[in-house]
Amino acid sequence: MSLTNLFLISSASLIFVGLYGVLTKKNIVRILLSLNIIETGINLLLVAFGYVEGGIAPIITSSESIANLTKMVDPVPQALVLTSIVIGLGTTAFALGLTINYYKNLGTVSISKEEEEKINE
Amino acid sequence: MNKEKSLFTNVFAVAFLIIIGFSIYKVAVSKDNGINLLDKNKVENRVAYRYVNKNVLDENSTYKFGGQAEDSAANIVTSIVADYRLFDTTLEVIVLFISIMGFSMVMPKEKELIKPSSSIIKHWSPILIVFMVMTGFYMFINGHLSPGGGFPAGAILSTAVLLGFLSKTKVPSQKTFKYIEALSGILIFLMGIIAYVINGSFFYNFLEGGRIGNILSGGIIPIFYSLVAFKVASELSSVFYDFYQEGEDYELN
Repeated sequence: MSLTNLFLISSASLIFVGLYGVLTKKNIVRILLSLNIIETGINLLLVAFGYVEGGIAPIITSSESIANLTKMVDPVPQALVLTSIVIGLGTTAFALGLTINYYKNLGTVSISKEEEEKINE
Repeated sequence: MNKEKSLFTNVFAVAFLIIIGFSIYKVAVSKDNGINLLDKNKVENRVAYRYVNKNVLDENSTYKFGGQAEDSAANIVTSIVADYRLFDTTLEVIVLFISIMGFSMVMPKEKELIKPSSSIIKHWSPILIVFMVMTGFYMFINGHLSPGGGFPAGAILSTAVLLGFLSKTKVPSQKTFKYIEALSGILIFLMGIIAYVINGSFFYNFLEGGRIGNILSGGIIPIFYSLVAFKVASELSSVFYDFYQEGEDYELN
């Protein structure tokens, strides 16, 4: 198995683990954790698409790295992943703030139906 | 009843995931026209190849390390983030700003007492803060030469602020951070407008780049990255301020 395929498989499994958590968990914090796991998997997928077998970092450090230019990995997915990480951080902070508000108002972090009925009574 | 329901949910979730996984697999191995996910791209199509071989004057020229280049950031990822796609990165900074602003609007404004920190944190944090601030400054100044850049540098600087906050060392107030953030945000757009006046295109790299590998070779990249680092650091610091607001009464359940 090549290293690229290993990256693809591991990122797909991360995405599915996260999706499973989002679909089944009732705790808001756990749902947010699962969303972050999905995000990690997608970032890994993007970086894996730019990978070359036996690749080196896309930084020109010496004349040798220019000689080994064909081995450089693609820098564009890495730049995109940087964007995605920063935005993921912002949205996670926002979602956690909403969760704290939810907890202060309702006294629970669960989204199950029974809890909601308990609150309404 | 409840358990049956949750079993049904789990079975449904697994079936849903299997269907999605099967469709992704079908797309990955299909031999139709278009981009195949598992294809190996040709080296000539990669950005790294074209980046090093590009020249405005001569199509077949190749750069040497330490030579003059059209755009001489040694780190190609930085060159993409802070030069080719600078507009994209600016909008990303705005997205971060908006999400942090929404966060501070959503957060409840109740004050909680911070527990006094242990003596280890109290005595070691000034030493650690010095090193953290040094690392942060190094990262955004050298963002075009080595791995790093404005966003990780901002994260490191804000961690230093958090450490000072936890150990009750004197740190700047939240208002100071808001001013720093506003100032760097304005300066980023001012830089774009200056580039527009000079060259006619927004965020053009108007400073002359030097030899690849020099500290002054990036043009406007170090300036942009330092502004981004200050902006991100102050935004994240204000997140910490919102989480831990110091007050008199301690009311948590």
